[in-house]
Order: sequence, then structure tokens, then C-alpha cells
Amino acid sequence: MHGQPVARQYLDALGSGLDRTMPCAQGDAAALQAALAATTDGEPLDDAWIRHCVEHVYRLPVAQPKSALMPSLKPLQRQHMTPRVLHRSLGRQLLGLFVYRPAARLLRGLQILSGRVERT
Amino acid sequence: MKPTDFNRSHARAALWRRLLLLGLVLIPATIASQFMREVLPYGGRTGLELAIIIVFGVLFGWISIGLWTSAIGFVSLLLGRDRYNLVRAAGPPRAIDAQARTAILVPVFAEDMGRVGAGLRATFESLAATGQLDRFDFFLLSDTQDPDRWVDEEVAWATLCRDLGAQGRLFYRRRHVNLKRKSGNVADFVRRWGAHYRYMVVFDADSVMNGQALVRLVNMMEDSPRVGLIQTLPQPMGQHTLFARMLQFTGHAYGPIFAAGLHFWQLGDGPFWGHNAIIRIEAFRRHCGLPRLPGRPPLGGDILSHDFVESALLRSGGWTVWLAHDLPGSYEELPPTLLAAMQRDRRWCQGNLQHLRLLFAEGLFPAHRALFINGIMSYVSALLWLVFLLLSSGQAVWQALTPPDYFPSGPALFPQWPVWQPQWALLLIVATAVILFAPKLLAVTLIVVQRRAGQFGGALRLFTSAITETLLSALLAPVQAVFHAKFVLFTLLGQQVGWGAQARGDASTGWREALRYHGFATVFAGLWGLGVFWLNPGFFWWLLPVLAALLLAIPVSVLSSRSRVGRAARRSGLFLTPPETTPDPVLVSFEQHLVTAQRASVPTLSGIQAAIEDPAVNALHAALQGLSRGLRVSERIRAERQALAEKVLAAGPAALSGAERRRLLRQPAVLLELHRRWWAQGCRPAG
Repeated sequence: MHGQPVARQYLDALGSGLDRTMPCAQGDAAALQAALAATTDGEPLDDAWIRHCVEHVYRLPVAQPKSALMPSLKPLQRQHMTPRVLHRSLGRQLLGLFVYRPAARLLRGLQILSGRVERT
Repeated sequence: MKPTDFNRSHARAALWRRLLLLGLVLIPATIASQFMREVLPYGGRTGLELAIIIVFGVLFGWISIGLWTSAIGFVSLLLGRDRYNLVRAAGPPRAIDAQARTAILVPVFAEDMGRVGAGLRATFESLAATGQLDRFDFFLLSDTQDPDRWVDEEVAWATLCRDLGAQGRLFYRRRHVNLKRKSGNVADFVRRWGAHYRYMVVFDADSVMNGQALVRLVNMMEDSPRVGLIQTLPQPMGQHTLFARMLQFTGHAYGPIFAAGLHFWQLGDGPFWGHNAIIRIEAFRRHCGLPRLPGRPPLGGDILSHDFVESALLRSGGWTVWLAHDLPGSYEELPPTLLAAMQRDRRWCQGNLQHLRLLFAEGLFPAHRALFINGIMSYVSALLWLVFLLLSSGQAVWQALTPPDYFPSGPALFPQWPVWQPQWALLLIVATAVILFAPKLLAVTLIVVQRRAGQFGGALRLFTSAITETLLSALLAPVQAVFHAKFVLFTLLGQQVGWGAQARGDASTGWREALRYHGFATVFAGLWGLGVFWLNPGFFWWLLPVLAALLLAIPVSVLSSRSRVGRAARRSGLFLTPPETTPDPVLVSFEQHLVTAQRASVPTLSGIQAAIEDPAVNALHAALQGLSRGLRVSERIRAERQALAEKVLAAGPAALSGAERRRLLRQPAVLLELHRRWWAQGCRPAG
């Protein structure tokens, strides 16, 4: 790498996706970025450079450099996962399976038989 | 005949089928236990003999589940008549409705991106060939914590997007916090982007599926709106080491009848194996929010084997879960070596034992409780086999050291003569061997009858492979049993497993490594054998197959891990499988992409070095983070970050610790400025 002008090295590092014919008089990376990205008035260099470089090298559109690339590709629409109660102790699980729930079923059966509640 | 409604679980048919299985398992196990009682000298009247009979009965019942599952699968595939066949009912692939969008999720954790990229490319291109690519999106969901691999993943993703023209169709997301590991990774996707899709197909990092299979899966889900999940049977592929090629052959030759048998018992209460399955997102979102189990790992904490639990939760939520056991075009890789397989089993063992905590949880269906027990027994059975052998040895030693007891039940009128019944012991051995080997015989018979032997290199090569596999698995089974027994004990004693990347591709075991992991078992087997031979030479010969396998563990582990040996076996026609003799185009494409990735010149810059020096990687990484990240921070934090940049400028990126690299990579503005200054000083440390 050493021995070549920094600007040429920088363009080489960018690969073939960018214009290699541009003048390399200014050796500073920031100046090169500004020249390559062709910054418009008022647009920060970082924004312009990211948009230009990522779009040219990887062909990925960067609509808003301020926002992370991935969420901007797909708008967020948060939903909740419904958690299930699975963390009862073994004793409580056994009581539920063999005592509470059978007892509840029995009680309900008796209520239906006695006409206190309607079968659904 | 009325078409089958896959929205129902067909509980009545399932009940009869499961009662049949129960009878087929319990009756022979009881008879075999009775035989064992007769074999033993005191007819089960001593405590030691009683323990031997009980353990043997449980193990006999356990292995006979495999036999009957294979037998029923054999009959089912031979007759080709299955009322509940989801794949046949769906028919050939059809156009997918524009609203039925599907996300293909590839969760990764410090994986080889060349391998992951090759699988993604092959799947993407195969899907494009169906003309229905626009119904699918791909998500690379990273949980990688290594900062260098993080940057490499970003570059690999961007390169894939560019090469495939997949912008807006292939997305990359990295989680900073690995909450709940892989299940948390998928849950995070469901929360953020799930609402955009009706279905998700979950891949493993080594999964490949062809486009036809993916389209047909969506068709099946569309046909039956109460189906929550369809699991495919992933076929092993692309293996080179002898160990993995043997497993690959097992998967192709014996796997189909076993899976058909599983489907026969399970119907709509099917399994989820964590990958190569399609899931209805709305059902998953409503029912599969997993809790953290109370208490500390290994039995508490994050649920490791989350897939079993998720299928149980879906079913209890009223959705059916099916196994599409005969859907072609679903593939996965296998661990290349015995030690890599054991590393994976260590994780699975802890995860399955955690299900002890959920065995009686409210609202689960009995079929899924049985699946939990099945998963637990997969590992506990190994411990029981060892206990059985040790108890039998103890019995033999006790027999040799103590004089015969003619009144073991206490004072009696007549003495009881302790009599060994070797001929009955032989009968039991033969019965056990039949149970273990009959599924293999049935599978090979089915292949020959269905005229598919050509896919395995011809009938002769098929038989040779099956016999070699049987011999090799006889050598490997005791070694695996020792590992599994150790895993169960360690887990129950409170030792937990870490979360590392899984070994894939060709990775051979060195002699030193083999000595480290198999040395104890080898020495133990030597001492055990010597002791038994000294005290009761007659019993020694019964133990010899197990002892020999343990004594040969080190060379077997090393040699079976060599890809050179595996490739030689392939050249001689051993362990050939259908994807090798009649390759699926998606696998041909995968192999080509893999070779291209392996032959591609290694980039001079990678990891954080690339993020600092390479202009494109620097810009890409900053874009992925978003420039607004890290702007609203205190002066102290700003100064700390600046100090990191100064450290790089003074001593180079290599001077940063892992934590410092991660911190720097999360500061896009600092990184952009650092890049410019690094170039200004000639891309070398100032110091």
C-alpha cells in the first residue's frame, strides 16, 4: 500500500464500484469522501458519505442515515408475545393435575346435575 | 373417501393408536422382565436382583418403542395408504395468495458466514425458480457477541444482498442482548416484524430447503387455517467425515420409516424440532411466549429445548401440529465428529431434563407430556443401561465372592437352589438384539422392495453400508451412553452448559483431544473388565462387547472424525445416500456456492480492522447502526469513547479488548471520524 498516493489507495480500497477516474489531488480521506459523495449544501458529510458509499458498493438504499438501516427497511409494528404460566413448582403442578382441576370438574358436574348452572 | 380435516387433531384415532402402542410396549416388557427374573439365580428375591429386573424392564420397554414405531412406519410406507397424509392432500405446489407472506428466519450465533451464505443463496435461488419469491422475505437474525464476527456478518449480508439482488427482501438484525438465546431471538422477530407476515419458516444456520418444499408448506398452511405448525423431516446432507457420513446414511435409510411411525402415533399432536418447520405467526405469538423457569440453571432459567415446549403450547392453544414426514427438499447438516455430536447432546440433555419442570404443567395435552418423557428418556436411558450393567457386574461379583444362600427369603422348610439359566439369558439377549436391529432390517427391506436401492449405490452397497453401520454403531453406542450418563448426572448435580457455536463442516478430532475426553472411560472399562475377569470369568464374556467398545473409544473417535477416511468410504460406495446419487438441484447449487466461498481469497481486512480501515465496511457498519446512535450521552462517556479512538490511533485496533471493540462499534460517529484519522496517519499506528 505504501508508496502510492493516499487518495489512490483509498479509491482502491473502495473497490471497483466507485469512479476511479476522479482527480486524486486532495489526499485527505474526508475531502475524498466529500468529493465522491458530492455533498449538497447543508447536508452533513457523514450522512452524504454513508448514503453514497453503501448505495454504490452494496447497492443498498440508505433513506435516512440517522436511523439504523434494518428497521428503516421494514417499519416496526410491535406486538406482544403472550406468556404462559409454566413456572409453577412441581408440587403445585401435581396438585393442579390430580386434585384442583379434577375437583373443579367434579364440582361443575354436580352444579350441572343440580341445575344450578347450565351446560354449555 | 372424505378428505381429512387437518384442522382437527383426530383425537379418537390417535387414542386407539396410542393404546395399541402402549400394549405393544408394556406386554413384551412385562414378559421380558419375567424372563429376567427366571434368569437370575435367586429369581428376584434379593434386593440387587429386584433392581436388575426393574431397570431391565424399563429399558426393554423403552427400546421396544423404537421397534414398534419403525414397524408401523414400515407398514404405512409399504402400503402407501395414510389417511392423514398432509403432503399428499396438498398436492403439487400452487400459487400463493399475495396476502400470505412468509418470513424465512435464519438465527445465527458466531457461525461461519461462508456456510450460512451458501445455504441462503441456494434456497433463495431455488425459491426464485418457482416464480413465487415475492411471497417470501429472508431474515438473518444474529445473536453474535464477538465484535469481529459481527462486522464480518454485516459484510456477508450486504454482499449477499448485492449478489442476489435481494435488497428489500433479505434483512439483517443483530441483538445486543441475547435474552433467552435462540427462542428469544425468534420471539424478538415475532414482536418486531411478525405482524407483516402470516407464516415463518425457521431455519438452523445449516439448513437448506428447496423452493418447491417452501411453497408446498405455505400451501398446506393455507389449506388448513387451524394448523399451527408443520415440521418437515430434514434430511442430512453434505457430510465428509466417516462419523457424519454414517449418521447421514442412517438418516436417509432408517429415518423415513421411523418418522412415518412417529406420524402414525402423533397425528395432530406432532413435534417441533426447532428448525425446517413452518409456523403460523399469530398462533405462535399468542401461545408461545416462554417464561424463564424459576431457580438457577441447569434446571431453572432459560428453557433450552424450547421447541418441544412451543409445540406443546401451540397444541394446548387449540392449534394442530403435524409432521410432514415425506415432504422432500428439506435438508440439514450434522455434527462432523463424535465429540461435536456429544457437545450438542450436552446442550440437548440439559434442555430435555428441564422438561421435568413442565411435565405436569397446566393445560398441556397428554401426547406432549409423553413427548417430554420421551425426550428425557433419550438421555436417562443411557444412565439406566450403565446402571444395569454395573448392577449385573455387581451380581456376578457378589456371586463369586459369597457362598450360596439357600434361604434368601428367610427361614423355610426347603432350601432354594440358586440356579443360573444361561439359555434363557441367551434368549433375552437375542430378543434385545432383535428389538435393536429389526428397525434397520425393516428399513433396508423397504428400500429394496420399493426399488430405491439404486439411490444408495445398489443393493450390494446398501447391504454393505447397513452392516458396516451396525458394527460401527455397536462400537459407538457404549461410548455415547457413557457421555449421556455423565451429562445426566452433571445436570442433576447442578452443572450447566455454556452457549457456544456448533461445530459444522469438516473438523477432525486430534489424538490428544480424544485422550482427554475418552481417557477416563477407557481406563474405567479396563479396570472393570479386569475386575470381572478375575472374579467371574464366565460373566466377562457377556460384558466384552461393551468393554471392547469403550477400550477402542479413542482410535474409533479419531479415525471416524477424519474426512479422508469418510471420502475413501464414499469412493468405495459405502454410506451413499440419495442426495449424492440423484442430487436435488438446490444441493448442487449449495455445494457450488460453498466451494466458491471456500476458494474465495481471504480478505486482507476483517472484523474491527475492516470497520476502521475499509471505507465501504466503515460506511456500511455506520449505516446499520444509524448515525443518531450514541449522540445523547454525557461528557464523561463521550470522553471515554474518544479515548478508545485515541488508543486505536496510537496502538492499532489489535490493542483493544473484546469489550472495548464492542463499545467502539456501537459508536458510528466516532468510528467514521476514526476512519478518516486512521487514513490520515497512513493506516498504521502512530506509536
